[in-house]
Amino acid sequence: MATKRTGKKRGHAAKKSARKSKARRGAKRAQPSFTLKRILAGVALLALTASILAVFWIDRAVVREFEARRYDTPARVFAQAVELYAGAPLDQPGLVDRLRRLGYAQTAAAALPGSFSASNDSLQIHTRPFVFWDGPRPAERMRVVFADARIDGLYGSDGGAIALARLDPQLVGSLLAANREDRILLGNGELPPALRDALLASEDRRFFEHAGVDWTAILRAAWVNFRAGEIRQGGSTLTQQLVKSFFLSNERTYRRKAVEVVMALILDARYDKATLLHAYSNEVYLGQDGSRSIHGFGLASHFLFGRPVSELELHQLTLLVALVRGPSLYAPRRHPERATERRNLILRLMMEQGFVDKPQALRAMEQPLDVTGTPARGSSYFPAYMDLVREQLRQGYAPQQLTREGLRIFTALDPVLQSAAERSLAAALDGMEASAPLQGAVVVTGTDGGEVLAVVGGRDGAYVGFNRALDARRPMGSLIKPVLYLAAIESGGYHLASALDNASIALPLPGGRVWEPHNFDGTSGPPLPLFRALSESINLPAVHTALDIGPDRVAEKLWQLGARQSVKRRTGAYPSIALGAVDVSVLEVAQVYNTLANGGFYTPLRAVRAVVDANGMPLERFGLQLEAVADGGAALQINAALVTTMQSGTGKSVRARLGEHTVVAGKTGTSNDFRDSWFAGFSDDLLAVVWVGNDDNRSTGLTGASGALNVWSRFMQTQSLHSVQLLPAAGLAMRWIDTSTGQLSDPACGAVVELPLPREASIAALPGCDVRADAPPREGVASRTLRWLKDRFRR
Amino acid sequence: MTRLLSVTIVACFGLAACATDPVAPPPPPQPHVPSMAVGSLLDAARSAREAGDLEGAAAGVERALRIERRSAPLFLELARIRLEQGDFGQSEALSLKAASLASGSHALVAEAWTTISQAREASGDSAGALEAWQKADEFRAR
Repeated sequence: MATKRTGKKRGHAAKKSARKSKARRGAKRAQPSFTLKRILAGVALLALTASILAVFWIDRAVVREFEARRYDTPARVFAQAVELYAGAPLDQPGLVDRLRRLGYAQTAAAALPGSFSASNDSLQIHTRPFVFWDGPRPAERMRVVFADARIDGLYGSDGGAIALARLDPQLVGSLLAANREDRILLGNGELPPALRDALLASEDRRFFEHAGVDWTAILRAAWVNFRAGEIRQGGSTLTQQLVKSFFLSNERTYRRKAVEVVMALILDARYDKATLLHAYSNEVYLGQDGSRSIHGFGLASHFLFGRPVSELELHQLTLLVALVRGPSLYAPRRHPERATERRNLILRLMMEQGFVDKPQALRAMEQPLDVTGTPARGSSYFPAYMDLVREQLRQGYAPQQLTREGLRIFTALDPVLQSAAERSLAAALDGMEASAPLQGAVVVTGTDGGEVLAVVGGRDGAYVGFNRALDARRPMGSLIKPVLYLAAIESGGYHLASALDNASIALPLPGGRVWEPHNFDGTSGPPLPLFRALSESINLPAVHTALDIGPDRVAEKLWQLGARQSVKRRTGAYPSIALGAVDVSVLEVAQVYNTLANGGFYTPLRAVRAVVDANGMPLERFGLQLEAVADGGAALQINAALVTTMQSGTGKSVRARLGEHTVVAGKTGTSNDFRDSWFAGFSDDLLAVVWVGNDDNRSTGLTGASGALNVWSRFMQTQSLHSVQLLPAAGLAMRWIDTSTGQLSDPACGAVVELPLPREASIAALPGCDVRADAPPREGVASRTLRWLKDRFRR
Repeated sequence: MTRLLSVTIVACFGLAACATDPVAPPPPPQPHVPSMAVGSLLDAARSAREAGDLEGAAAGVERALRIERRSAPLFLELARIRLEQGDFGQSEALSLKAASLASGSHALVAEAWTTISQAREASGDSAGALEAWQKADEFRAR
């Protein structure tokens, strides 16, 4: 070929030069038409080559885009699935609330998956099929019977008892790529026939017949538009619309149109109609939700109706198709009349073209739009929690895996708890007077199991940005005191009744300065028992104790309990660590107190339970991990003191809110100049840490008790609370202790508190008090407490 | 008069009782009812373990632990699964947790210490294994 061309060229060149020399030699006997023909032929050849190359290039681009888009699915993030079993602490209204959040329809007979029916004391639930991390579960019908604010029994359709069932978990968000397109992919065969019919009827009647471009439609549209004097109809096929959506720019030039036509023809030639329709259903732009674009019928169905597309009826499916022509124009929440008109037009078209019969169409036209109220904002319903999810997955997964491969991520999020925490923070902050607009953060975990149930990153729960719960680091303040005293008790020299120095102290610091710590009220005084120094949060005893055992020990303990990002181990700690001069995040504090509540077992807090790939194959499971980091007896003593804090110490104001019968444990914290207000506390099964402060670090004028505790108690009030159960530990016995002096006492001798103490500890008896350690209990309220506490130990 | 005096004295004791005991005790906790749900999960976990699906068994036990959070037998089961999986550190920690929850049942505590002994032995800590074995013996004897 090459030789031929060169030969031709040479031949050409020879002929050319022959012609030229002829022209030069002779008269002006040139043959312009012959040259022109050659030039034209050359140009035509070039044009043809260029066109062929262009088509190849377009073909490659089309295929590349198509294949890439097919797999562009952000990871789906799910909340924890509600478990149903006899004894579950869930009452009927509570379960109905959760069903509604999942978009379950309340019907008369619960005939279809995704519905329920209610009677006086029981619910009939028809669960949706779902692929959990441990395998697929089919749809199931069950009857749930309630008694005493719990599930009393669970029965299958055959009447037999069901041991355990799960509701499908709530979808709480996606991990989006930078272009912020969100999708719920419809799989093969998941496109409802009625939806397909509506699409064909209104957008592309001859979809299954044409070859990618429908010339008759174009001509018809041109005619209609010409007659009307304006653009009434588009002539684009679904294939052309699919092509258009591959490109961001919306230029309307002839060149673009031409490329679009070529691309549509290529696509149609390369892929079958079903595949194209499927891709279209997942690609079509249907609306905007804040910064999130809604693409595909799957996601639009959730966005508008809160339910999967398979559960929609005719009037709802046609509304989805109505959006195709104008996602903003026909947005049903903003323009309900226009949306209804367009929906009904589509129904008419379907009727005219024989997809539905007249009664069906008329019935559908009479239906209201049926969309849910304002949907949750943004790409996540709970952006602060999603931050923690992302952080936990960052180590094991590349960003592309998380944003493109359709992974399914199962978390421990409890959406009901999360909403309650958000509301409590907002309401409490609104009610507080302060010099500047306050901010706050909350982390809620279970006391066992190490799972993070809720994360609130700021006053505005929907805000996507700086996450104060995870990323703000503030001085821990008095929240460190339990850690300090734990280290002291473990060192062997201390117990709850030990007398601690409360004298003023001046410490020389390097550089000639002097540190003079003070108590909150500026006083100093005689020695105090440890449990009071902790429950009343007195500073001087803490400093003395830290100096005695060494500040490095305190830092080490803090690290062991869980503050592993913020604390350097073993060296370089200052005495001021005794007063919490160490910056920590709310999440770290939650980790530390979780270890205490767990009796000294460190369980790394996790938000993600399991990761599964798009086909349901498990990729990773984050199981329960434990590390024994504190002595059980020491932890018990500290927890007992934290209970005392809430009964008679700095946290006692909660008793008004939570009632006298609920026993909780906690610690207030206030940093220098009232810049940070902290509270960390737990019940039997819930732990919550709250921080309140100003972003610019200005003083708030709030203490831990007046600020963060307010938020905490508001939140705890929304939950059904169970009293803290302190597990007995070997080597400890309950003793009555005089509240002022920490000496052994007896209820008959004055104000006492019952505390767990080492059996072999020698504790002085209160002078003048007949301490009868083994005497039979005196009848009365106090002895009832004694008996109740002793019962605990016997178990 | 005596009746008035008695009433006054009793009232004084009552007030004193209130003074010494500022908080009324909570009502006694509900009795522990063995759960069908946990039973079925445990059965499934054991089957999984026998079939060699250890991680699946662990997942099942952890799911049961979300229902019965402070169950020593469940922690012990998980400890045994981790032992089989070769995770000796976790096996020991989980057994310690089981022991801390089982203070009422000497047999269970003994089993926990036995598992700890096995984990230590498997990880090469023979001295520690012996210690744990002796501790198990102590509880078995009680």
